[in-house]
Amino acid sequence: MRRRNRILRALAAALLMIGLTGCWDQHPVEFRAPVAGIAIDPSKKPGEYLYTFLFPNVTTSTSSLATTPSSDEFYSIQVQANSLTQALESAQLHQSRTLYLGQVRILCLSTKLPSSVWKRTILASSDSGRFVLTFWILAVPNAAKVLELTPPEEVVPDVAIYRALNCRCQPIVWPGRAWRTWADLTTPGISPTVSALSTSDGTFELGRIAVLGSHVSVWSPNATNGWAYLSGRVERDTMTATLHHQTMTVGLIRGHTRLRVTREGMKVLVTAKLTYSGELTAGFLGGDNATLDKHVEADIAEQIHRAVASAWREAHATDTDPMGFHRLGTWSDARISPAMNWKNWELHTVVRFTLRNEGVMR
Amino acid sequence: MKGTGINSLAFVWIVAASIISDGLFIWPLHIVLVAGQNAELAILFADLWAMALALLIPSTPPRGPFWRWLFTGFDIAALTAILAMDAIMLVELFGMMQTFYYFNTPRWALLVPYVAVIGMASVRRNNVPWRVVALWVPLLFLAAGVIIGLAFTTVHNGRVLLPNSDITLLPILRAVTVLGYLGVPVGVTMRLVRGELAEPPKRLLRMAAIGLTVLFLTVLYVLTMGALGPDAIIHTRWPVVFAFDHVTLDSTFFLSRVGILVVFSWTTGIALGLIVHLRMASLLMARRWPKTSGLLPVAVIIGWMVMGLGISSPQTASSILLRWLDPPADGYCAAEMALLLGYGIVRLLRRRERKRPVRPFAERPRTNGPIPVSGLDPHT
Repeated sequence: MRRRNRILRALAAALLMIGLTGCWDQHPVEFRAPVAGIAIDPSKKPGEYLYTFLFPNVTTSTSSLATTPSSDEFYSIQVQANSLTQALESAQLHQSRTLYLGQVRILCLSTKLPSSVWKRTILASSDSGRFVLTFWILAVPNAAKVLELTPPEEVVPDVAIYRALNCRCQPIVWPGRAWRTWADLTTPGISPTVSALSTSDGTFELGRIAVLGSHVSVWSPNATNGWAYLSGRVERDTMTATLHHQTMTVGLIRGHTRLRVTREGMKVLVTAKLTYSGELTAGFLGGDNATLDKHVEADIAEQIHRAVASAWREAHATDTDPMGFHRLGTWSDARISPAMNWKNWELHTVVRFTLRNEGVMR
Repeated sequence: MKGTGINSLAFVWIVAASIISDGLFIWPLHIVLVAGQNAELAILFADLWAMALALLIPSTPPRGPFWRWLFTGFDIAALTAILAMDAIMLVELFGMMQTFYYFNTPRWALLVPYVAVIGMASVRRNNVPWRVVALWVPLLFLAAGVIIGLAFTTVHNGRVLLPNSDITLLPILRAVTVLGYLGVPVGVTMRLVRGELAEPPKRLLRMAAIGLTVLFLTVLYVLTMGALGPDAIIHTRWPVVFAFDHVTLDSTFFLSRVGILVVFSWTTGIALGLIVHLRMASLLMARRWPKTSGLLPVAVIIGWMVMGLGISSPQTASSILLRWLDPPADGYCAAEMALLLGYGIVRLLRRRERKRPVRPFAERPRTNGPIPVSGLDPHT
C-alpha cells in the first residue's frame, strides 16, 4: 500500500513537471514585439485604412539606453488594410517577432473615419482575445501623428496620454476605457463615448468628448462639461462667477448626479438631480458675508444648469445619447425602448450647489 | 474516523467550497440570458430555497431503515450528478485558462496533473482533506474579498441591479430552473459532512454555511451586472473573469492587473471543491460498500480525465450541463425538498406522540424519586 502510494506520488510529480512548465506558452520578451499604441487613419483607397503600430525598440539594452537617440527608441510600422485583424496580419509580415497585444496603451482612431469602422474595430479588439481591454480609445483628427507625439515630461510617446487619462488628476473622469466603450457598444440605448484629443506644438489637450452615433461627432467643450455633470464624472471642475465686478473662482467642484427616467402617459421625463459642492479658490472679497456666498452658489448652479442644457441640445442635434438615458429608461420601465424617438422627452434638472468651507475662506 | 471530528467552522468552508466550485463558472451568464435584468429575482428565489433547505436538513442521521435508505438513495443520485458536473467544470476551467492565459498549452497537460493532484489530496487518511479545505477556503475567500473590493470600482450601473417594471414570471422561472445545478450539492454536502464533525452542526451553523455561499455568488452577480449590464454580459463567455480581468490599479506600481490573482484563486477553489466531492463519494462508499470503496477515487479520476478530454469545448460542456444535467437536477431539488419536508413532518408527529402520556398517571409504579416527565423519558 505504502509502496504503491510512493509510486503514484512520483508519477504525479513527474506529470506535474511536464504539465506545469508552460513550455507551450513560452514567449521570451526578446522574441516579442509588444505593441504600445495603434492608430487608424483613412487612406486614399476606399474601403481600406491606414493602420500604424508603435513598438518600443526592445533591442535597446540598458547600457545603450544613454547613447541611443530618442528617435531610435521607438519605431512604427504602417500598413494598409480593411480591418484590424487583417492589419495585424500584415504588420506581422513586417516583423521578425511575434506581435504582442497585451500591452497596448492607446488606440487612436481618426474622427474622419466612418462610425462603422470605429464599431468594427472596437468589436474586433474584443473578439480577437489578444487584446486586454484596459487600453484607452481616443478620437483625434490625425491618429498617426498622436503616436509620434512625445510631450516633454515623458520619454515614451504614448505614455503621457495614457497617464493623463489614468491619473484621476483631470477635472473630469474622461471616457474611453476600452472595455467600457465595448460594453456601451453592445448595449442598446447608450452611445459609446471616448475622449477627443487635440494636438499642437508637440503637446496634447483633452477637453472634449467624441460620441459614436451614425457618425463620430466631437462635442463642444460646454456640452462636454454638461455631459460630465450629467454622467457624474466631475472630479475637480473649476468655474468663475462675477459679482460686483469682481471675478471669483470656484474650484475643486465635485459631487454626484442622480438620474431618473420615468414615463407618464405618452411623455417621458428625465429627472436629473445634481448635488455638487466646491470651494472659493480665488477672488474672495473677505469678511463674513453670507449673502455673497449665496449669490456665488446661485451663479455656479446656473452655470451647471446651462452646461447640462447644452449637453441635452447637443445630444438631440447629433442624435446620440452618451448619457444613456434610453438605457436607463429601458432598465426602469419596460415600455421605454432603447431606440425610442426622444424628440418630445423632457429634461428636468435640479442643481444644488454649495460652497465648502475650505480654500481661501479660512 | 469518528472521535477526531473536524471543528464546526470547517463545516462552513467545506459546504461553501462544495457549492461554489460547481456554480462559479458560467455564473451568471445563463440566468441573464433567460431572465435579463430580472435575473436577480431568480437568485433571490434560489437563495431562499437554499436557506430553507439548510434549515430543514436534520442535524443527526435519520432514524429507521426506511429513511436511512431513502436518504442514501438521494445522496447517491446527487453525488453522481455532482461528479458529472465536476467533469464539466474541469472542461470550463481549462477552456477559460486556454482563452485567457495558456493559449498554446494542450488541455491534457493542464488537466491530467490537476486531476491527479486532486485525487492524491482526496485519498489522504483521516481528516487531512477536510483540514486542507478548512485551511485554504478561508484564505481564498480573503483573497477573493480583496479582489472583489477592488473590482467594485468598475460598478457603475446602479439601476440595473433592481428589477425592471415589467416582471414576467416565465423567464424568471426558467432562470430558477437553470440554477438547479447549484442546488444539488447543498443538501448532500451537509448530510455527508455532518458525520465528520465533532458535534452535529447546529441550525445557525448550517445557515451560516449557506449564507456565506449565497452572499459570495450574489456579490459576484452584483459585480458583473453592475459593471457590464445585461446586454454586454451575454456577449461574454466568462462574465466574472471578464469583469475581474479589466480591473486596473494604475496607482500601484507593481500590481497593475489583478486578473492573474483571480486565476490562482479560481484554480485552487475548483480543486478544493473537487476534493470535497471526491471525499464525500468515498465516504458514502465506505459506509455502504466498504470492500470496493478503495476503487472509487481511481474510477472517478479516470472518469474525469476521460470526460475532461472527451468533451470538445467549454460551449459543449455548458450545453451538456444545461440540457442534460439541469432538468434532472431540478427534479432532484424538488424531490429533496419534498423528502425533507416529509421527514420533518414525520419527526414532528413522532415527537408529539412521545410528549403525550402513554399510560394514565395512576397506573405508574410508585417510586420514591421524582416523577419522570414523559417527554424527556428516553424509554417511552
